[in-house]
Amino acid sequence: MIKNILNIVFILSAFSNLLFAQNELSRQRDFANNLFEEGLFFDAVTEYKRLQYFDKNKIYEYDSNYKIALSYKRGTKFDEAINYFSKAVLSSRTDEEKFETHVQIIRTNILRKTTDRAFQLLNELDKSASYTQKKEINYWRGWTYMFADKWDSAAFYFSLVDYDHELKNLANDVKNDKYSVTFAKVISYILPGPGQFYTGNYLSGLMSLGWTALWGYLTVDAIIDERVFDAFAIGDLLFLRFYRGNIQNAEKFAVEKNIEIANKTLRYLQNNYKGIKP
Amino acid sequence: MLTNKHKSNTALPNLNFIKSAIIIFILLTAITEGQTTDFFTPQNRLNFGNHLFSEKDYLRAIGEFKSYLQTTNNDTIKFKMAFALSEMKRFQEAGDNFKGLFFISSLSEEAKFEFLKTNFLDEDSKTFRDIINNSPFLPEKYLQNINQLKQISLFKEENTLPDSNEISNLFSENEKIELIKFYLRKKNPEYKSQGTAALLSAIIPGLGKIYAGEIGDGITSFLFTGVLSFLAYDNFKANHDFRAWLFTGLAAWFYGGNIYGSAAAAQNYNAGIKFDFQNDLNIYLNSKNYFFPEYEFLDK
Repeated sequence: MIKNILNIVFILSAFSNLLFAQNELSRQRDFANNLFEEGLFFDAVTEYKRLQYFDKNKIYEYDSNYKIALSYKRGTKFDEAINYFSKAVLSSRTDEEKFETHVQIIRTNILRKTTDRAFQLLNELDKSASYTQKKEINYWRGWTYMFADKWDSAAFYFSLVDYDHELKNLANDVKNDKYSVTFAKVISYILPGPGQFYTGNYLSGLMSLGWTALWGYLTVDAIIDERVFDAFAIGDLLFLRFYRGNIQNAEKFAVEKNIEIANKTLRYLQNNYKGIKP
Repeated sequence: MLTNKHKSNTALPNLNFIKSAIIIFILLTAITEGQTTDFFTPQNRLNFGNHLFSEKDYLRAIGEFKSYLQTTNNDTIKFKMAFALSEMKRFQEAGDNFKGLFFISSLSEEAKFEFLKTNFLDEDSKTFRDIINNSPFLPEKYLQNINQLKQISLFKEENTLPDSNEISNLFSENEKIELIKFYLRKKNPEYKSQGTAALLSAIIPGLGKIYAGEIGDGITSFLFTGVLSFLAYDNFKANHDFRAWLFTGLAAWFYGGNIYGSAAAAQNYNAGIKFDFQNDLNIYLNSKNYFFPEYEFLDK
């Protein structure tokens, strides 16, 4: 009888200790969660780290690593975020948790603009993904392509998620709005100036046209007068210098305009897009 | 009846047993509830702070240490806090905190050395040496380290040269060999003279640039100035005055610009020599952790 009581007391004692230690840890987790919800990310990281430190049985290991990573991500400390997401992957308990955390690593890589790494991770994740997971992977592929400034590929992957996806249309719009760098260069090869006109830089286009016309005239004049050396010197040093400059300018302006268009769209996505963002 | 009575007799002790167990459980829970871990006791904050310190999360470690120090006076923790500030490159605050440990502390010598180290790391070599030369509180235990830092500060400053005898005395054989190489590089830098570069370009356009290591630019300058000069001469000969003067102006412009450019090229070359020296020196000193001492008590 006494032996039975002692056994039960022992079991209950162990159980109650465990129970209350867990209570304390769950209180600490709630405290950290509150800080996280209030946007106090520095303090949230501190409290999640405290939770980790005292959680000797690693009950909250995944949650704390994941939330620390999210806090770092919100605080734009992407390297630390990826470090803690990687720890969370190692401590994940289910395949869903593992998948979700991998996706977070990809999303952080997109924000960090390490898009090559994001593509590599997406390809790895794709190999073992289910149908619904593949849809999500394509969604993030689309985002990665947008950040890699490849809008046609982005539109293609968004169309795999949903044929009428809002982001597919947006990516297509950007693709259509962007200037063709090749076209700008080719028309500048044919006639100096129009490459700049094409991107709206009229003054620069006129200057290119004027300078190349002047030096072209002097070169031709020298050829007509049979001053071969003059023709060569003016033609090479002045005419060709402005002719090449005109082509380079046309290319530069087209690239600059394209960056401007891409950045404007990314700003729009950041401020106005209601769907899930990296 | 007898069976029922017997049954009720056996059920009674069971009931008592359950009652006892419940009472004990309630008592135990009451006790354990009182004994549950408070993560925010000074000792726990200290333990957590030490953990953060070992993880090099210095800012959070400082927060925990500050909290702990509100209840307990502990020089090691004060030292660790100052050390964390120093690691975060908050040298002024670190120095002030180390000063608080100069007297009546078992870590007085270490604190004095670390105070000097913060001045050394603050990239003001001259102030660092002034403090060493004038301070009455130099830590005896770390005199060799201080003298090592003094020599290193002379390496790092632009117009000073360390003492080669001191280098021989203060450093180990391998370190000595490396540092003497740096000493010789600093003593006899392979600088190019700006005056010589300008003069060479005045005699033959582009030669100064070639002397300063910019061979491609030198040849281009030579050809450009030569072609423009010839065009000027050719046009004067053909009585095309306007074009002749235009090319004369351009040739003079390029000639003058080339002389100036050659002096600038020599200046760039010298800046490159200085940069490479400092870069190589920093890589070496970082690999040696600047010969700073290591403290075992920081890991506890």
